Amino acid sequence: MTTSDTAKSDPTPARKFDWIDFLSRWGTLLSLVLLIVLFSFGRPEVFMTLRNMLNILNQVSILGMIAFGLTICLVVGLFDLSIGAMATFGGYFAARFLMELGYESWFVVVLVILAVMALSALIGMLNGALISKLGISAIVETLAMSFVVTGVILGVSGGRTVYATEIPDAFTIIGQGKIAGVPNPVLILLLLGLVLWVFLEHTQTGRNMYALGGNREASRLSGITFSKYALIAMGISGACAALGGLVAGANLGAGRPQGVGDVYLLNAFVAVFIGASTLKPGKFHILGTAIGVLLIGVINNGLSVMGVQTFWQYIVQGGILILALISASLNTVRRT
Amino acid sequence: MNLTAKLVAGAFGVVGMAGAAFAQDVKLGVVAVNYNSPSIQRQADSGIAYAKELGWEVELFDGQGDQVATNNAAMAFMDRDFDAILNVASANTQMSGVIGYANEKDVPFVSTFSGLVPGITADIGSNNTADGVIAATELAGRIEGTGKVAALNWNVLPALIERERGFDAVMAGYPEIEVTKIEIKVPGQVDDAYAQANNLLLANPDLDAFWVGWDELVAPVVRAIEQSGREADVFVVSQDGIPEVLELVRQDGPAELTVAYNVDRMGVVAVDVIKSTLEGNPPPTQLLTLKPCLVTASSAPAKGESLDFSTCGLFSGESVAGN
Repeated sequence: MTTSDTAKSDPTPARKFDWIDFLSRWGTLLSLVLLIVLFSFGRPEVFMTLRNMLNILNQVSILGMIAFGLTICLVVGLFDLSIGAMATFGGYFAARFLMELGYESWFVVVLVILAVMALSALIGMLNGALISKLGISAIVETLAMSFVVTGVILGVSGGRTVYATEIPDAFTIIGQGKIAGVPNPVLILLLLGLVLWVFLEHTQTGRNMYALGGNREASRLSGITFSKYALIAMGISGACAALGGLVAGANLGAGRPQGVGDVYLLNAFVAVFIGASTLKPGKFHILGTAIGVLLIGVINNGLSVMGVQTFWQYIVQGGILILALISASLNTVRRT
Repeated sequence: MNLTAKLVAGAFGVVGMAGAAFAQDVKLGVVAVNYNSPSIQRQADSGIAYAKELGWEVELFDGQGDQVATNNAAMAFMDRDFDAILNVASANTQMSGVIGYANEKDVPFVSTFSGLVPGITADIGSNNTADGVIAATELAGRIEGTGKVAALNWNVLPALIERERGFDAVMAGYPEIEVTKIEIKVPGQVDDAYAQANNLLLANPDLDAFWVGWDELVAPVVRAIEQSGREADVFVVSQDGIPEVLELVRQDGPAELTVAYNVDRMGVVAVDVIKSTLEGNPPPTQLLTLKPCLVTASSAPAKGESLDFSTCGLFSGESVAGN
C-alpha cells in the first residue's frame, strides 16, 4: 500500500525512452552486431571463427588506414579527393625505389617507407597550402592534384608494374607477415588508429581541429588559424593514404602504377560518413570511422562466405549508408 | 629477257614504287581507351613501331578510360583526313558511330582485342572462347574431373565473357565438378580478387582450384592460397600470359598455367591488315585470331625472357608425346 501511495504521489513523470536519440547514436553499431549475428547463423562454421575475424580485419586494414587519414581532413571541414591517387603513389614509389636501390635490407626498406610517406605528406601539405592560402575549393584542388599525381606515376612507370621478384622480402613482409598470428596490416591499422585517436581527442591540436570544423570564423576569432591546421590535416591524410597504398603493395608484392587507390577513395568516404553517424552523431571521429570500416568489411566478407552474388554487396553497403545517414539526421530533423 | 617479260617487270616495278610512295603518305590514327594498361600498351606500341618502320605518320590518342573521348578522337582523326584507324582494345560494341563514320569515309577501321561487330575491317585477337576452353580443360584434367572450383571473372569485357563461355562449355561435361562463380569488382580488381580468394578458401576447405578470367587476378589469388597454407592442394589457371604470371608459373607454385596470347604480334598484324586494305586487299574475314600458347612450369620462358610463340605448344599432350 505504502509503495502504491508513494508512486501515485510522485510528481516527476516517468522519463520516456528516446528512440530517436538511441538510434542516431547506436543504430550503426546495432546494424553491425545484427549483421554479425546474421552471418554467424548463416555460416557458423566459417564466419564466426578467429581466422575469419582476422581475415576481415586484414581485408579492411588498407581501407582503414586511408579512412583514418581522411577523418582528420573532414574534422577540419576539408574534403580530400586525392587519397586514391596518393595510395597508388605510396605503393608504386615504395616498390620502385626499392627496386632501383636493389638492397635486401630492413634499414633501406624503413628509409624508403619514411621517404615515401614524407613525400606524400608534403604533397598533402601543398594541397593544404593551396586550399587555405588561396581559398581554392578543397574538392576541386585535391581532384586536380590527384590528376597531377596520377600523371607523374604513369609518366615515371610507363604503365609498367614493379613485380614481386623485383621487391625485397623485407618490404613484402610488411603486408604478408604476422606477429603472434595477427597479420601485420592489422597491427599497423590498430597502431595508426590509436595514434590518430589520441591526436584528435587528447591533444590541443586535435581539439583545435574540431573547433575549426565546428565554426571556422569563431575559431579564427579565438586565435586558431585555419591555414596551419589545413596543412597538418592534409599532410596527415596524404601520408595515411600513401601508407595504405604501400601496405597494399607489400601485401600483393607488386608496385602497381594504377588502379590501387581508386577503389578505396569512395569506400573511405562511405566509412567515414558511416562513422560520423555512430556514437557521436554528426561528428567525424576515429572510433566511428573504425566502425564504418568494419561494417564494410563484415558486409563484403559475410555476403561472400554465404555465396551471395557480388551485386548484393553494393546494394547492402549503399543501403546501410543511407540508413546510417538517416539515423544520424533524425536528431537534426527533430530539432528543426 | 624478252620484251613482254621486260614490260611485265617494268609494270611491277612501277606498281611497287607507287606502293612504296603510297606507303610513305599514310597517316594512321591510333586510339586506345586505356593505353596505360600494360598489355594494351604493348599492342599499341608494337603496331606504332611497325607503322613507323613503314614510313607512316602515326598519332596516338589515349582515352584514359573515357570511351566517349576515345570515339571523338577517332572521329577527329578521320576529319583530319587520316587514312586509317587502329583501335587498340576499346570495345567495338561502343564504337558503332565511329565505325559507321569510317565506312562513310571509306577509312579502314582495324582493331585489336576489341570484338567483332559489323562494319569493321578486321579485329585481331585471340580466340578467347578457345583460350577459356583450353584453360578449363587443363584444370578439369588436373582434378580428375571431380571436385570444387571457383571461377573469378568480370563479365563486362567481351573477351572475358567469351573466356567464361569456354570455361562453362568444358564444365558442362563434368557434372562432378562444383563451380562457384564470383563476379570481381572493377576497378579494384586485384584487391577484390585477393579478398574473394581468401573468403572462398575459408568457406570451402575442399576447394581444389581457381579459374580466373585474366592474368591480373593470378598474383592476388596465389597470395591468398599461399597465406592459407594450401599451396600444395589448390592451384590457379588463367589466360593472357603477362610477364608477371609467366614468372609465377615458372616458379611452379599455385599458378599452374596460363594460356598466353601474343600481344606484340597483334599490333603488327593489325598494321599489316591496314596496309593490305589500303592496297586494295582487305582480309578475307573480319575476325583474325592468333595462335596462343599453353604455358606451364615446364614450358615457361626463363626469367626475363619472352615467350617464343613460333615454337611453344598449345596442348599439354604435345610435350608428353614429344618425350
